[in-house]
Amino acid sequence: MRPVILIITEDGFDVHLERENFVLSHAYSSAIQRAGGIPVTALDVRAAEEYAAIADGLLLTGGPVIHPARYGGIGEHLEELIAFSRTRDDLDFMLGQLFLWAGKPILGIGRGAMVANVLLGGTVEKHLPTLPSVSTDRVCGAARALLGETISFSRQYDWGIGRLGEDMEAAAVSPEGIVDGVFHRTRPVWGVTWHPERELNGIPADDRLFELLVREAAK
Amino acid sequence: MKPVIALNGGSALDWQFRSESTVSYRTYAAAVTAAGGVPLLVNEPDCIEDYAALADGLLLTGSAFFSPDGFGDPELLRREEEERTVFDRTLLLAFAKAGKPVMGICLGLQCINLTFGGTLEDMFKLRTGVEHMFCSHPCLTEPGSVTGGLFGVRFMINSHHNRRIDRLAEDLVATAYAPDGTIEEVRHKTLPIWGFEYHPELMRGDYPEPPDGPDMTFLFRWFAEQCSKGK
Repeated sequence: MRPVILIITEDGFDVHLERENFVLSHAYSSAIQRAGGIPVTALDVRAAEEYAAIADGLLLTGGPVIHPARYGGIGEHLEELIAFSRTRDDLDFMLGQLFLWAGKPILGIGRGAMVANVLLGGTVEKHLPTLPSVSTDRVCGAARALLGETISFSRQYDWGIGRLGEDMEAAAVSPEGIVDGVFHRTRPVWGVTWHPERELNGIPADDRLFELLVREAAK
Repeated sequence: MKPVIALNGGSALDWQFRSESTVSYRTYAAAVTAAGGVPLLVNEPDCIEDYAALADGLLLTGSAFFSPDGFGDPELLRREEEERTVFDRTLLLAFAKAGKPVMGICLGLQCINLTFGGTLEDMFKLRTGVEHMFCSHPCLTEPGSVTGGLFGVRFMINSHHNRRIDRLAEDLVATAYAPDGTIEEVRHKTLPIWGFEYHPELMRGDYPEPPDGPDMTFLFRWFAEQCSKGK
């Protein structure tokens, strides 16, 4: 059987029926399917151990800010605190920890890159300076074998990776010195702050990271 | 290990995020988890066979959006729903083929009836004058009904549909009705497949809908047990 990749997705609210829901953008599941994996989506943190048992890899996707207590920070303003999702933080961090312990691969995208970094003890940079909407980053370290010398993408966030987690190394650095990608030195954990699953501002989707995740999950 | 229960979602172009996406109400996942199951959202058409191999059962969920296109009724087509109709039917057939339990809710029940050869009546309230959207009414169970065994011959249920079963598929048996004759529960004659026209996943928690109905956690627990049997 092909490797099963567990996706954690956006939680939201249907204003018409006044009900909480989960919304999975097909861009993520299609990218996993194209890379040869079987995409499934986690829905309840109380089933976390079973998810970690049946899935071979984890995809942490885009989403809201992380509650600062997750990385030892505080929210100085109420707006910062209420923008987070408790459901989402619970799912991301519980499953992230279980996959780390199991040695199963984790790919973080957008918010997911920040989650991956925080899982390894890193922090979040809450207010990035105003940056160009399209960035061409210098690729560093082991990531060069996968991504080449430079990578261009649309920047989606005004928050990003702060202090690097333990044994995390910068994989992509912007001309302004912002870290946009992290690869773990020994574990199969990768994070990129951009969105390779979809075409944005004329920059096409990029399957290489999804192929890496599925390849590693098949081991 | 707990039974893994696959859930389908709505394939509508989403209101919230404006991209092609699959939407699932949290009440379904919460009901499955409370019953001791592992809820797993599945959405990729090319992986249906894998889903049927991976999961122990299927919960075919309801939707605010649906038209039975693909069953020969183009008048009712909404563009974004064709994909879901085909996906749901293919998923149902894959689990049926694997002999794994399936529970259909609202649209899920209608999908089961259509797939096995029955028909639906759309906007039946215009003909009968009985409203079935956003309201509640009694459910009257027959011998052999799952909910009859759990909750008795008469209990209150919610109602959230404009379509209902018209001609019942030959492979199915109706086991509960509304007072106006609307079929509220079906089971397959030979396969482990059940369907409910109302929404048992909303009949749980601190303020269930309707508030005077039974706690349907027991129905989901019963279904999770069916899924565990095949493991």
